[in-house]
Amino acid sequence: MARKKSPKKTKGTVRLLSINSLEDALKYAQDIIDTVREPFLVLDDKFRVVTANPSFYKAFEVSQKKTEGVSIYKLGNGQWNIPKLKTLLENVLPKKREFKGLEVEHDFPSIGKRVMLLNARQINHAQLILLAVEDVTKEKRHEAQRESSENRFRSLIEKSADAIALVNAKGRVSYASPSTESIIGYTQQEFKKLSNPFKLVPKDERKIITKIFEDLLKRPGTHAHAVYRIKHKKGYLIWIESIMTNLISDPDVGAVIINYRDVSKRKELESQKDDFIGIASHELRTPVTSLKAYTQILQGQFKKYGDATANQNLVKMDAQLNKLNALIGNLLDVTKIERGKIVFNKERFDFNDLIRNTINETQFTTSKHKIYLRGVVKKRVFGDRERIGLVLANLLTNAIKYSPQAERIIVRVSAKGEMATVEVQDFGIGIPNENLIKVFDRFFRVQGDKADTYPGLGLGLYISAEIVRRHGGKMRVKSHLGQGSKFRFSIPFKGKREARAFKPENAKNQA
Amino acid sequence: MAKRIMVADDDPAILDVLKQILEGKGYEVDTSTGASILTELPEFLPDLLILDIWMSGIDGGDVCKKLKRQKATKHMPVILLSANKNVGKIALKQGANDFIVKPFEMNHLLKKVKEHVL
Repeated sequence: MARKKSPKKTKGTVRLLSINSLEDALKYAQDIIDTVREPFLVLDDKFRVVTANPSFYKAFEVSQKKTEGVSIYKLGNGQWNIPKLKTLLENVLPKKREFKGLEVEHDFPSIGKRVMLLNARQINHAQLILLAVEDVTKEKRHEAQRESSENRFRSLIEKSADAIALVNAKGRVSYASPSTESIIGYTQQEFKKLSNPFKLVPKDERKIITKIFEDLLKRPGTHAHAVYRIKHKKGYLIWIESIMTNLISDPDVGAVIINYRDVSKRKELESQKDDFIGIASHELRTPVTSLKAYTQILQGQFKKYGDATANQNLVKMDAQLNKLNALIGNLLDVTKIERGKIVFNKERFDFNDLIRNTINETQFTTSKHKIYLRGVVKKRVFGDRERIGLVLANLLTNAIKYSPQAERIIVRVSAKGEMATVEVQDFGIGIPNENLIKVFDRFFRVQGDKADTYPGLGLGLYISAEIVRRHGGKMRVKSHLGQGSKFRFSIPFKGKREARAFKPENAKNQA
Repeated sequence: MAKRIMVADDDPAILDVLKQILEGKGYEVDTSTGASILTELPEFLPDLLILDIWMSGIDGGDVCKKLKRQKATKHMPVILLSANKNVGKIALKQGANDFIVKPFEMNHLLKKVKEHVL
C-alpha cells in the first residue's frame, strides 16, 4: 500500500507516505479504519476481533474493551452469533476470498432489528479478514414504505371503477386496468391486443376523436376531455367520458393516460331532459303565439275606432310578449349550447335592418330610456339572423335593467375590415373590475352596491357570447363602476357554414 | 270569388287567431285540428294550406311531403308553421313552398300568404 520514494524526487510533486516499520503500517491502517464511516471490523483467522472502528462501536452500542480480542460470535453476549454470518465467514470466504453486498437481517437484543450489508475480504498474507458492516435498516425501511405506497397506488388504480389505459403515440395500449372489462367487456389482455382502441369508436366519431388525440400529442403535459360512443364487446354502443393526459415526455409514464367511465345512464337522462325542454318550450311558445296574434288583431280594431292610447298599450304588450318569447328561446338555447347541440340557421341578411328592428322592438319595453342608433353598416352579413338579433336584444335589455337612473342608451354600429361591430353603451351602475371576466359565465348576475338584486335568469350574456363566438366573432366589455358599461360584439360578414358532421359533446382541448 | 285558405294546427287558439286575421283580410278560411287533415281536404283544393309541424298525433312535415308527392295535390301551395327554429330547414326538406316561425308578426304572416295565394 505504500511505496518508497526518494525524498529527492518529491520536490514539486505530492509527497507520498513513507512507511518504514510494521508499527507505522499498523498505525496507518488503524487511522484508515478509524476514519471510515461505515462500521468496520478486522478479524483474525479464528474470527477474533483484532480491531474495530468507532463507527462500529457507535452503531452497535458496544465498547472497545469488550470487543477487541473477543470472537465475533461471542460479541455482546453472543449477539453476533448469526448463522448466516457464520456460513459466510467459514464456508464462502475461504473459497471465494471475498464477498460483497450480502444482506443479513438480524434482531439484536440490544439495538433491535437491523438489516446489514456485509462486505468482506480475506487478506491471506496477514491472515486477516476485513469485514465492513453497512447498516441499511433505514434505507430498507424507506424502501418498504415506498413499496407499500406503490402497492397502495396500484390498488387504487386497479380497484377504481373508472378504467385507466396507457396508450403510446401510435395508439398501442401498454396498460389497461381491470375495470376495462366491466366497462367495455374486453379483458385487460384482449384490450391490450387491440392495435388501436379508437377502432371501437363508430366511424363518424372516430375521425374527431383521433384528431383530438393527435392534437393532444402536440402538447405535452396537457389534457383533453371528450364524450363519445364506443362499441362494447357484446356489440352495443355505450357512451364514454374520457380525460386524456399527454405524459409521453414524462420519464415515469411515457404514455398518454386515458381515464374513462361509462356515462350511458347520464346521457340517457340528459336526452330525457332535452326532450322535456324541447316539449316545454314548444308548449310555452304556443300560447305566446296566440297571445301575440290576439294583441295584433286588437291593435287593428282599436286603430279603426281611433283609440290611440289603447293602441299604444297594445304595442307595449306586444313588445313584452317578444321579451317573453326571447326568454323561452334563451332557456332552450342554453341547454343546446351546454350539449354542443346548438344549430344555427345561417342566411345572408341586411344587418342594418336587423339592428333597427331590434332597437324598435326593445324601445317599446321602456318608457324611461331612449335608445339612439349611431352609424350604419351597409354590407350584408351571413349568419343566424334571429340569434344575432337576440344578442343585441339581450345587451339592450341588460342596458335598460342596469341603468335605472339613466335616460339614454347608445348603440354604435360600424364596419371594421371583415367584421360588423355593434356597441351598446349604458350610463348605469357599471360592473366592478373583479366581476368583468365573470359576466359571460352562466347564471352570473350583477349585484348593485346595496346588494340589490336585479331580476333575470343570468343566461343572456352567456348565450350571447356563445352565439357571437360560434359565428367567428368576439365579445368584449368595458365598464366603470357608477358610470356605466360598454358591451361590444363583432360578427364577420362572411360567416362560415355550419359543419353538419357529428360533434362529440365538449370535445375541446384544455391546457 | 274569395281565395280559400285551409289552416291546420292542433291548438284551437292558434286556429281562432289565424281565422280572424285571414278573414279580416277577406280570405275564406277552413280549419282542421290536424290529425285527419289528409282526409279533410276538400276535392276542390284550397288556394293555400297553412300547416303546423308539431301536432298531436301527426307530423305536419310528413303531411307536406305526402301532399307534394301526390299528383292531385302537389301544386297546392303549403306554408309550414312551427315554434321550432329549424322550420326553414324542414320546409326545404319536405318540399314546402314557405315557412313561418311562431310566434309571428301579423304583417309578416299576411305578406307570406299574399305571396302564395295566386
